[in-house]
Amino acid sequence: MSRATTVTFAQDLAITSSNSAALTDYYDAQVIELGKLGIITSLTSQAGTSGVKTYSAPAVATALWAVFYGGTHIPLVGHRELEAVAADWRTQLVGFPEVATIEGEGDMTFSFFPTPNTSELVYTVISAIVTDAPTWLEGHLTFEALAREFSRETAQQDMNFSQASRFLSNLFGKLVF
Amino acid sequence: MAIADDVLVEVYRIVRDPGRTATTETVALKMLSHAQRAINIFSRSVVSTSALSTVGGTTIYSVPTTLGRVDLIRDGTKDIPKLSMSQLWSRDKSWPSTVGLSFIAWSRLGRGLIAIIPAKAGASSISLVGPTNLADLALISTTLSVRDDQIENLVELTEAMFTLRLRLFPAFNSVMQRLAAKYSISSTKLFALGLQPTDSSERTAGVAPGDIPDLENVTGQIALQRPGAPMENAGRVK
Repeated sequence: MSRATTVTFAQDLAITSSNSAALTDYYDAQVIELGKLGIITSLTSQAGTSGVKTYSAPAVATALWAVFYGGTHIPLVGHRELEAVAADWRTQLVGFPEVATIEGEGDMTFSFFPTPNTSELVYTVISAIVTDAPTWLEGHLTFEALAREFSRETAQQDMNFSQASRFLSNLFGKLVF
Repeated sequence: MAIADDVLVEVYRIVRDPGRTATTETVALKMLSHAQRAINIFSRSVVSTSALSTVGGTTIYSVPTTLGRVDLIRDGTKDIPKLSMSQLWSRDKSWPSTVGLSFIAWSRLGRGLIAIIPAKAGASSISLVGPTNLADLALISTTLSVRDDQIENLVELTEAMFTLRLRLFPAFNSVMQRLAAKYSISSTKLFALGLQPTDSSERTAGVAPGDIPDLENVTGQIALQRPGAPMENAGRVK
């Protein structure tokens, strides 16, 4: 179901003036939040190069769930857990990757340790920003957008409508998640 | 089987709009469609079997849009056991590429992807089973897909959307209390979204991968994840 369709449905429910641009922004924001729950996932790939350890998830990614180097699942770990792999992980320069760690939350870069010594495809399972969420998500997204739109300070602010929309957003989430 | 108008007649009566003037049938059908779709996914009232043609050497597939969720995968008459992604890794780190003679396990990778292992060398076919992602209702004469025992739930959820739209807040409050009790959700608190904690017992040698949350069986409140949680927590981007 397209974002535009969801916004139109939200406007039908709102009846009174609602800002379609704001509803669109709230749709996008909630899609990002849902990404943190792994609701909308996809598989992407990029070329991996021998000697290169750092890669970035696609720009549309909002969460990184898994990384594969070639046909091998490489666990994502934190820096402290790298020490459980090898105390001298910083000096293990080259080999087949055993773990990957996320280097930057903002740009979703991740690095393999040790640095790969072969060139393979790098696959990532990500949550991504989409403008065509599954139809079963539209109810939740619609009421979430309405809850936010009518809670902000505008001439159309309506806290009762906002809170009621919030409840329906919660309910649809409970039903479909 | 009931038709859409059977529900709408009831709801229009509840909101005192028998002439269907305050809410058009088009908008009403849209609301009813969303209610039916969501209730079906929750109740599994209508379950579909969708054939998936597997490709030789491939283990990861997209979930078809005809299903709201994949609950079961069947290879012929045999149900394939479900594992978590970390269990796949524990079993075989090379599970994305391992080839075998028959499928032995599957996993959800979020709600958009499934993994079926091992890959077969050649093309094959399996059946995905799960609640149907019901289509929108086109006409008021369209037959409802859910079982008759879900009609009352449809009426209540549609009534909630009607009363919200018409700003009939006392009536909305009444149906909200019933829905909150029925589905065990708070009628006063915000829905707190957060990640499920990683199960440390699944770790092997301290480097087992984390799992994508499987929310199928969530029934209660999920604790809100505190902002600024350390990045070392399972290495997962927040």
